[in-house]
Amino acid sequence: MEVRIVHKTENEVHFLVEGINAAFANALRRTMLTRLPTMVIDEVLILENTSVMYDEVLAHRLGLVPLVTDLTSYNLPDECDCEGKGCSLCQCTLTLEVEAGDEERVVYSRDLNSQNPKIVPAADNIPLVKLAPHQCLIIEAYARLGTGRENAKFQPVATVAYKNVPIVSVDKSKCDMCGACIDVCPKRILWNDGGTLATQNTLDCSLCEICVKSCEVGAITIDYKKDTFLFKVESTGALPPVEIVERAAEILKERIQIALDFANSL
Amino acid sequence: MVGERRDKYWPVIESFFKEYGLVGQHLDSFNRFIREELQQVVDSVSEIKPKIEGYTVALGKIEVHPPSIREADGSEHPLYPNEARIRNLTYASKLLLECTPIRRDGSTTTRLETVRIYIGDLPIMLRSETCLLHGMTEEELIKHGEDPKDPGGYFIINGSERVLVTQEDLAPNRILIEEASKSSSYTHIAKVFSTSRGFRAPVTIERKRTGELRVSFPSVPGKIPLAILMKALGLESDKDIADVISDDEEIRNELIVTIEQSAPINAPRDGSGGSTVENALDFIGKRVAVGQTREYRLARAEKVLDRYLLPHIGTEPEDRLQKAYYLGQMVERLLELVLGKRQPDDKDHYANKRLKLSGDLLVSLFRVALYSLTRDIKYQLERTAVRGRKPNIRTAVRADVITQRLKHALATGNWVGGKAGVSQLLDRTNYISSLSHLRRVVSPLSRSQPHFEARDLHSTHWGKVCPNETPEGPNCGLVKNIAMMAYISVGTNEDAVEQALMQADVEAIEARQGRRGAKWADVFLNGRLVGVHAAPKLLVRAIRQRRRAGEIDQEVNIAYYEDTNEVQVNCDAGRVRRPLIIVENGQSRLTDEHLRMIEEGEWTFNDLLRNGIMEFLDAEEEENTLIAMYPEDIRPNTTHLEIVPSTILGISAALIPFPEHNQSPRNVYMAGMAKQSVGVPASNFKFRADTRSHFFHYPQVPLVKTRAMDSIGYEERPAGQNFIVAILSFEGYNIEDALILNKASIDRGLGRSTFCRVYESEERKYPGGQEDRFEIPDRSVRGYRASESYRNLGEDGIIETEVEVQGGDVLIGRTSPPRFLEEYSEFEITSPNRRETSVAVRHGESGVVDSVILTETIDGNRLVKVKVRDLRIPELGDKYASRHGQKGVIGYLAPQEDLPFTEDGVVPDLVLNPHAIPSRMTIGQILEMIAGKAAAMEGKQQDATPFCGVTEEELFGLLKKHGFQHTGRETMYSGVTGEKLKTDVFIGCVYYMKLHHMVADKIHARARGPVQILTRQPTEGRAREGGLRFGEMERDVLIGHGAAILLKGRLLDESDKSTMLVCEECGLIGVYDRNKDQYYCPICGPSARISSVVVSYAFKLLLQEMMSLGLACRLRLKEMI
Repeated sequence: MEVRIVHKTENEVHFLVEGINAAFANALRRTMLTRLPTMVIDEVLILENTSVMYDEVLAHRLGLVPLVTDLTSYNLPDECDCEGKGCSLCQCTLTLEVEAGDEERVVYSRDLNSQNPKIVPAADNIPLVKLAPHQCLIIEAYARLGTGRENAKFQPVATVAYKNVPIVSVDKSKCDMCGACIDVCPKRILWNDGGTLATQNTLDCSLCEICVKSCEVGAITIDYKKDTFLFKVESTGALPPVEIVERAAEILKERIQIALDFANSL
Repeated sequence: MVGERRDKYWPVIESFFKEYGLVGQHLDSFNRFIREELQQVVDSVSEIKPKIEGYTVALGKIEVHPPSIREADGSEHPLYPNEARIRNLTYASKLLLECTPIRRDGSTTTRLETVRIYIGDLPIMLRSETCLLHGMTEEELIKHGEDPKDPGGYFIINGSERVLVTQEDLAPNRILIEEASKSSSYTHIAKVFSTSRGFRAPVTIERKRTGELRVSFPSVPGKIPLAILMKALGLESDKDIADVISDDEEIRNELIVTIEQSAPINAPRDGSGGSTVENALDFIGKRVAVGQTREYRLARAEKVLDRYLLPHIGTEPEDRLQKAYYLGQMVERLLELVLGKRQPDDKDHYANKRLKLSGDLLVSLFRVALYSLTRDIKYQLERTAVRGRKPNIRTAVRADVITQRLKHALATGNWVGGKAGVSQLLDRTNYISSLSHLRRVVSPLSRSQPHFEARDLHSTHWGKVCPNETPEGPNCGLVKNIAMMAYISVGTNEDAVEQALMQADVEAIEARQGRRGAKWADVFLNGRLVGVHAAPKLLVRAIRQRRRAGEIDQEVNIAYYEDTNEVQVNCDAGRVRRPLIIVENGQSRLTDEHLRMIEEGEWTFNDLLRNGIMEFLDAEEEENTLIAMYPEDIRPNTTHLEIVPSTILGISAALIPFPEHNQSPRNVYMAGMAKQSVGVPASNFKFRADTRSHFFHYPQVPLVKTRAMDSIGYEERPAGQNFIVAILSFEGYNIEDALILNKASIDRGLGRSTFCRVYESEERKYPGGQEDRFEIPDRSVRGYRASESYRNLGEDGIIETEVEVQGGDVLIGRTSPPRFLEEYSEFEITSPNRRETSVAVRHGESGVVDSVILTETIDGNRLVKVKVRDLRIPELGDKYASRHGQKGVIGYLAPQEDLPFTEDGVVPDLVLNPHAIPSRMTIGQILEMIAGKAAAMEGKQQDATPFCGVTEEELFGLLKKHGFQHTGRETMYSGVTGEKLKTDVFIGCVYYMKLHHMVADKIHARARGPVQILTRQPTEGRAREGGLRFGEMERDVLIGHGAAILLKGRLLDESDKSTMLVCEECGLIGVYDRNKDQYYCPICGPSARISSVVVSYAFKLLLQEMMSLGLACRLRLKEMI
């Protein structure tokens, strides 16, 4: 297996994985989506809410705020010594105390005060609620670790997807340079290179095969590599994207091990 | 680009809505009612004449005050609508009437002092000129707890919002001729509904097979030969009659039979036996005043002719000749139909329809109310006079006569004239449903008969009535909705129009002694024959010119029918009219310069009317036009130009993107479903207390919109969300219109809504000084519930806010005095025994207490309203629909990781089964998916207005530009196996609406529960926690299987099993005497053998009911082996 990072930014990573099959690629994708824990507000104590927003809607919005997660210092509630009752090892308290003055005021995610300076909203400009003059919020929120299996808010990724790596081949002997395929390709893979049909950025090809359909002489064939996948992972900001992939791989490994152990014990 | 050119005139439409609003027809009608018609009704009464010598009361000016309320303590203050809504009050104004008592002493009359008397309360239409909200800015409206976008046009009666639904009616005073059905004894009929001052008098002329013509009209039993009636009206000679009818020989020949019929009444030549007119009158008199003297008969006949025959022409003796001329006109038409010179009239033509708006309905209601008030005043005055006191008008007026009459009719919908369902509770499901409700038109035709023609879409509905927005089922085509640009006339002064006609050389019919002549065109004004004209085309042109120049009122419409050579001029109320651009000499009068002025707000829509650039046409005048659809269609003979063709649709149908690509029933379904979608009903929802309301979380502006949405304001009160939709089969969970929703999308807040229910209770006072009390009921109270039901009540007996409650939990604790006062006992009051009358959360519902309103009713009673809200997260079975009549229920909530994804990581929110498309042919939805995708990528809404929105080519280009296949299909990968899907998947954005049919409101099951008192069988229905019916077909199944014990279990053991005592001797019901511990038969005595038999309680009941009828139902008992 070989991994090559194609593109990387603060919240996004694109990488090629060679030497795996679709099942493995999908397992990795699903692990990232559902098995990798993140810290998210899961319980909200509303002491005062005079805004127009219903308590349950506000609580739901708080839950959707991604928090920067520190996986090393917190336990999953099930695995915690407190048996899920909630202790400082599995729970982080955030408070939100805002009162609008004589003006309207928008409450943003940055107004959340965290007990742990490491566990803060990943983005500070997420609007939570708009307060009319003199409306007031006093909220205590408890964040905990959880996985995407429970609720989508625990997903560490905004998107995770992969695609097969395309192989675009042109049979130059058949090609009559009619140009139909060049016009039709939405990704502009094919181009006229001084009288011959050439390909470019083939990694962008979406395998739609619209060029194949447009080519009357059948000069183009689109295929894809069975063992190579281009992953696109975009983080919510809870964890750095590379860490998401690494940790997901570890979890996957563990789970495979469990499965193997179980199979061997039969 | 085609799109830009075709909707070029949209600014005109926007200026139209700015001027008229969305419910302008109601407001204008009501304003006219207040301004003019109210006074006219009073003037028509004008005087109260009690049976007191020399005493009358003249009625003067009527005044309408701003809405106010008089509290129980006597204080009075202005009433704003939201206070009325919350406190269950009626939003009404005081009516003050000037009354002047007049004393007559011999020849001297003295007018006493005029007094202004409060005669009752008149409910006020919101946002009308009398409404306190009229002319307020948005900020002021918000300050008064109103939604600034609320259209008004409804009333508030006892706190509930009521709409007066516009009633469609056959046009009054118009002659309709038709062929009679084969089975009747008549061949042809001419009919007219002569209507004057709310009195409807149908007059029909029928032609028998023999050719004789007979007239029937109210208050005269049977039918009168036409010629006799004509003679009674003053046309003495047969020649006169024939002349009045026609100068066409063929038609005159048809009259011979009729005229001969009248021969016996002709005055004999010798002068004996009275004049012809008198004889004719006597003929009628003999029918209306049987067995009276000749003098009396004649007087009665004259009165009947004046009062009940064609009252719209007049009710004075001078009008009799006019009536004869009118009858002549009717006969001419009838005979023309007989001779095939004319086609039967089209009843469904919209020129023959009039809409009665709230103002018209209130006029008829107020007239009746005022009549009963005057009767009551008369009675009161006479009573005081009989007692020998001086009559005092001030004390004789009882204000609640009018108040109650009006309120009762508005609250129940039972109108004068026996119409029911005239006022309806305003539909507040969402903004669109409210608007649509205010623009609804109902036809009085019965729902049970087919009436296919009346239900059909008629070509004259174009631009007036929405072709798509009508309910399915029994009301189809009878309930309609007016189109966007349709506007209903409120009526103008008829005399001014008549004068204008006379100035335009119309020769008055009186001047010609009723002889119209075939060459001359008849001129009708509001269905009344006013005269004839030699050059009708010139007349029509002249009148039109004067109207465009503003010399004649805007509301006048004129049409010339070439085939029948008649001119119809209309200026009455209730005609549906629509604006069109005037075209002259192949040139549209609306220039780009005008358009610019409109766009920049320099000109309003009225300026266009005033300058003769646009005009309103009714269905009648439209018959004379050639209307070009688009500017490029203008030909030399074109007379008008459509503004924008898509305005033929109504409010609801105008929301559909690409409707012209859909099969038409789909648009009908959508127009219906838009009214069921959960959205934002009003922005003041926090201050409203509707019994049930839904509120949609995160409503979105549609990515694919229509231009009509801007004018309607849909984007400020939307009711849906843009879903990513993939058309794909998925594990079979979306078979048969099921939908698969992405669980993660729901976790993130997709499709959530809140349901609110308001519970209310009042501390009523009872006669005898007893009253209800809000309190936590004491254990001793009769009907005390389990104590935990009361656990959340505060010490005032009312629940706290933000408390979670479930079915059965008490929200308002209340006790009432005992229903029947106990007899006086010598001992002290034993026990007050109050009843528990608390209000509890409905069975099966739950939620959080949102707000508690504590206020006071008009009687000074305390009133509590508790709003309970319930979060509705999409779940299995909830109903969703796109804007193309594609509805479905959620069949599966799929985890995100299992759903297919595209290479960009896009996962559908909703997976739609491909079978939903081909048979329904909703190409609009396919286009919406593409347009939605293009809009999402482009970051710009796409315009899908019918006939002028974006084209497929443009959308294909946009998709390609953003790196998608132009088809909208994408390569997807299975979320389960990870493999690329064999074929690419059609995926895009569709605006989906959540419909208010939710599983949480319907789910129901029971193992045991309440039974009916009478039959002891389980109750029926969810609300009563009822059982599920084991019906006839289910019974058949068990019989078919031979499962007898199971069958008995269902129908007897688990239902109303009971034991009955039966006397074995006589077979009648036996009795057990508990005191003596003895069984006996009421007939055979104590010695009889009594057996206990297991029967259904309903059977026992049947036996006893039959016994009460005197039947002896004997059971023959045998030993069971």
